[in-house]
Amino acid sequence: MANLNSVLTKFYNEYTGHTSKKLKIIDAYLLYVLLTGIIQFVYCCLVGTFPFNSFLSGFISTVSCFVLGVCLRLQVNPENKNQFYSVSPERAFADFIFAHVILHLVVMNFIG
Amino acid sequence: MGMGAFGDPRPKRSLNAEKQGLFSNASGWKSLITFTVLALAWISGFASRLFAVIRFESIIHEFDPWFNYRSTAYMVQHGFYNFLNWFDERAWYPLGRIVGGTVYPGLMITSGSIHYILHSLNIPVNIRDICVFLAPVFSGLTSISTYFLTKEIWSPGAGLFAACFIAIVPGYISRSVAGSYDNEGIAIFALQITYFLWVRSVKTGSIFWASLTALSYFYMVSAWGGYVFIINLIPLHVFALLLMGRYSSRLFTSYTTFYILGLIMSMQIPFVGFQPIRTSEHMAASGVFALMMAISFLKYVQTILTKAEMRYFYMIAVLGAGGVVFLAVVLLTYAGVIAPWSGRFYSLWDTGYAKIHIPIIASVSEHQPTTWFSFFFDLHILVTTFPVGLWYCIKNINDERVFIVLYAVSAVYFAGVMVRLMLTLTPVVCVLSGIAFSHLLGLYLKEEETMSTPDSDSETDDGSNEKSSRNLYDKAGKLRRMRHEQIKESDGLGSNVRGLIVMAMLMMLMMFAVHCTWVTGNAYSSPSIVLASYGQDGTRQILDDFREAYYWLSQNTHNDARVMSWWDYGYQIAGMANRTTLVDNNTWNNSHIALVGKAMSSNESEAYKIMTSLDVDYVLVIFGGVIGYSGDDINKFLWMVRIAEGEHPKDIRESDYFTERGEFRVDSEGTPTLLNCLMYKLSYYRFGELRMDYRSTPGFDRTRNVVIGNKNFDLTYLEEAYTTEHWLVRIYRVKKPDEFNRPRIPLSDRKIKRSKIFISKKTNKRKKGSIKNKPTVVKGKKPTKTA
Amino acid sequence: MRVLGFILVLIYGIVLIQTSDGQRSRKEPGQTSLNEKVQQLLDMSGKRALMRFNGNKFRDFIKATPRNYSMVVMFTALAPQRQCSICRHAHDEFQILATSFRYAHMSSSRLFFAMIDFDEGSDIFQMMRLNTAPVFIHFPAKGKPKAADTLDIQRVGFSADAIGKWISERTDVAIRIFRPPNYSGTMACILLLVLVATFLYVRRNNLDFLYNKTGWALMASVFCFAMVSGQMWNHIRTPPFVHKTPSGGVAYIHGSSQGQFVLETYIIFFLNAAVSLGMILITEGAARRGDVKKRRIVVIVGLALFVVFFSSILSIFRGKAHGYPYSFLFK
Repeated sequence: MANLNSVLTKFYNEYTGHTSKKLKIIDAYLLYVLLTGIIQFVYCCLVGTFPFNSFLSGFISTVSCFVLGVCLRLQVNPENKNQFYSVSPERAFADFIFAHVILHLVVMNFIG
Repeated sequence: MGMGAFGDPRPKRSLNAEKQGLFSNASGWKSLITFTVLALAWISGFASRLFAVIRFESIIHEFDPWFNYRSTAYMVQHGFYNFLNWFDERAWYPLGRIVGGTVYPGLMITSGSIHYILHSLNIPVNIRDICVFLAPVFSGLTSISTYFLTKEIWSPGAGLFAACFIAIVPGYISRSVAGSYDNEGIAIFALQITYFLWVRSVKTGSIFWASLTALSYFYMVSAWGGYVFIINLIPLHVFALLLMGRYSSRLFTSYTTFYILGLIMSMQIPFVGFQPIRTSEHMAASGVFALMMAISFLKYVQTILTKAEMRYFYMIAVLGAGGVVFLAVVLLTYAGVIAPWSGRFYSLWDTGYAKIHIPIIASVSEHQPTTWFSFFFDLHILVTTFPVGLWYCIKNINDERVFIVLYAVSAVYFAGVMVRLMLTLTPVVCVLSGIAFSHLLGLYLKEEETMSTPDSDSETDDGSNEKSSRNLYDKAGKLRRMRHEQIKESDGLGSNVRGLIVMAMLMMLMMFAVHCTWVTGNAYSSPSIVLASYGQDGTRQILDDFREAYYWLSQNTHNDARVMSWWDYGYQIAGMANRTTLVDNNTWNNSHIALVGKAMSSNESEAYKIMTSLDVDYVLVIFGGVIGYSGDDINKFLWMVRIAEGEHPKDIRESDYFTERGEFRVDSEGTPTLLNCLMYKLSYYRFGELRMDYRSTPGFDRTRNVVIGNKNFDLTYLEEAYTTEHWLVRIYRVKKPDEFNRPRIPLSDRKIKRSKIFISKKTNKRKKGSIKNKPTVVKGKKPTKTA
Repeated sequence: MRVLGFILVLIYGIVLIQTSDGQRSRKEPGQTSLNEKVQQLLDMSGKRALMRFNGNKFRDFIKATPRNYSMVVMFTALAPQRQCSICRHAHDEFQILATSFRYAHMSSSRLFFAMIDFDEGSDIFQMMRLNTAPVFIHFPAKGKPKAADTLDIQRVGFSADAIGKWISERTDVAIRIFRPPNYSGTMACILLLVLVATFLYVRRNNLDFLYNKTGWALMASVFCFAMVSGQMWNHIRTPPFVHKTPSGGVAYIHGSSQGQFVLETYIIFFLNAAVSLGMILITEGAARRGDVKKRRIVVIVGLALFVVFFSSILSIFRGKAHGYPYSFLFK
């Protein structure tokens, strides 16, 4: 247990020390989306999935917000520069918006 | 093909000559050549698909296209939302069919929107013409997307080769000739563009390209059930990359974005519904998605922690993840949330499955396995050259080539199992053969080019004009070789050898081109509703019996008459005669089909019971015995018996229709059950009186080359209503219960009754029909009647 | 669950058999009443779904007239010296059928399955005038077997499904066949996996061969050639290896485009591979650097392979596609 504890503390220190502010904002967003998703899931477990398409569209939209957020985070992270040589942070953000537009159009249609 | 192929060498040749002098602007010439080649590929692909239109006329072919056409026309007429809610009460009587929820609407929407756009531009085009020419137009788009895909995977030169191959390869033409208005026509385009965008997004790792992939995947889902192939192939690619240790953030970005967007979009199609999260076919994709998330999380943690700590963390993570996945699978399976594989899908793996369990699938000729002959027939030289492309792709492997290798291997397996899936194999064969040829010719032409012009991109140029020049181009190639002959390099192979090789390759490509033209012209350009027969002197005779019969139905029966026929003709009757059918080519209800099969294979009185219970007014059979047409109902009859037997094993037994020696014969040695069943009687009614020429015996069946066994019989419960000119289609009217036991009714009563019942114009018609089948007479009558 | 039930039935059956043996010993054979006969049959078939009869039992249970049950009897010769290989297959299939029936209808007395081996009841064979094996005969509850009560093995074969269908035609008893799950496939898979795993484990210090692209490329190409030459068709349709014509000749190539022989597909496999190899040689000859003479030879050999074998494929194709106009080198 102590070992786990120390690992977690170290992780926390590393994170607070070495992560840029931009990424922290994205991380906060991701955490928020994750919590939303968990709440939805708990709700569906407790109450049921009756309008199944509504539940699905809500849940999938949170999952995709999360995924897209992670992708954005990967792309703007300067450490990954060598992998995304063709994607600048601005381009990444524009792509992010583009995907969200598509996503939410579909979600609107699906939520019924 | 003809004109396109003849048209293309000339302009290219001149370009080629000029290229030498104008090398200052190489990229401009390159794109010009690319454009020209693609345009010519489009044109020649379009032209080679027009055989049917030129030989016959601009009509819809075969069976399924008639349904697609009918629903498109409905959509254009009533609007999109009415189409989605369309309940078709003219099919599957008395059940009806919810069309909007049971079709892939992509095809109808595509042609409907083309129609809309053209009309808003004040170009009045009939929707039928759009439907007829949709597939050829899309074949051009397919070749362009193939170009892009190959360009991503190998080089632009290979892309041009591949584009030209796919424009004329018979394996694809078979499903996209003019008039073949079917899902596959646009689906292959969607397939190729999705793969291109996918490869692109893996290369760049951009969300934008991944979203576009998801969009085109959505289009594919709306167009064809084969989208399952994509949603399994892409995860397979990702999984293979993971196994090879090629994980990258780009892969993460592209796959997760594609998957999640594609998932929610695919659920927008009513026919697909919640399947993407419920059926096993789609589970691989979500499994890989979860795996991807887990791996990326671990990778992220790895960047922060040291190795020792990592190991500790890793243990916990693996145990936790394993437990969660296990629990989830157990729970879901227990709760029955995930449905097992569907029968059609299952038959792809266990190849004997369909034959035993689903006779209706096994009865369709497209679902048979593929012989080597059909491979060669559809792909010709490409069949031997695509392994070469595969070889070089594996030899120079990278992320996107893994994809094409997996695509090739899986598609070749599926094509082996089912003739129909040759269609998914064809594009990848074109891509790989394009790579093989471009690689080879590039090597053989580049050596010289480097001597004459110090330009690095000559390879692609050479590739490009060689490929499109395919036929008739050997001459040009030779000329060029001559010109270079004086520049002999010491380490080269020598121009003689090179010339020989290039000549041989061009020769092969030329043979490929003529093969494609021949196959397209001879095998894939028959509309199958209009038949052509060739006399001994080469004259062509058009047999238009199908349309004649359907037209008769539409003019001479009351509007809601119900026509019973075997399911093959359901769509055509609905589309052309606009009458209610019992079963059609959408084979969703096996027991209903079995009921019709039972009616056809029982004797007349049994069949009459079934027919009255189904309110049948007319029965339509296809009979080829007069002209020797082999696709008629007697030849399909055993399938009817088998399908009927599957549902009614007590009443119908297949063995009753075989002779002692296990043969299926319609001559005098045939079994009494066969000789007295409804199908036999309807096919051969009054056939015994027919004598085709003075030498032959009466009742000689030219399809089966026998004299039929039961010649003189009468029909009690049905009467002949109409028979077409060549007896190809025969229509019978089912008598009402008060008609057939006529002897009991006094003569006077009967006369009154008859006049009462048949007060309409039908009487004349029917008499005409039963007297002597003269369609011209009937046709001539019609206008006067209606007038 | 099912296994447990089966064991219970077995025990029950054994107990009953013992008691009934005791009963029978008190009575004269051949005079058992109908009820007792049925009871005995039930006991025996509870023990073994496919009962093994000898001459006496045959006369007792099948020939003796008061009967209210149908009997399906397989006449066979399983002894090794008889050298009847299909008898063994037929026996397996029949066994499956009988067991499936017993599972589903535990105490049904309508239908029983029995077999008579030639070496145990040759008199029966003479009585029935049988001189071949295996033969399946259905003895209906009333009356004598008719012609249709003998299964036509030539036509329908003797797979459990076919026999089941025939029985359901003759007796109106539909039998759903439960095949014991075939573990051989699974076992083979597991064995293969284990082999691969051990192989990897043994060579764990030298895993380079996994990165050997030539090996992978070879495997992929062979797979493609196998599929393209129609091996899957062979697997599903099981055509003959070659066709012996009535005149005594041997046809290697199927005459029509709809069919193919096994040997024919091997030939095509080889020809396709040769053409591809030719093309690879041509390319390699140009791509490699080195001795020009050697490369030139390689290229020429490649070209010869490419052209000659492609022409032969084309000529075979032409033989099968009637009316195909094009050919190259060979007619």
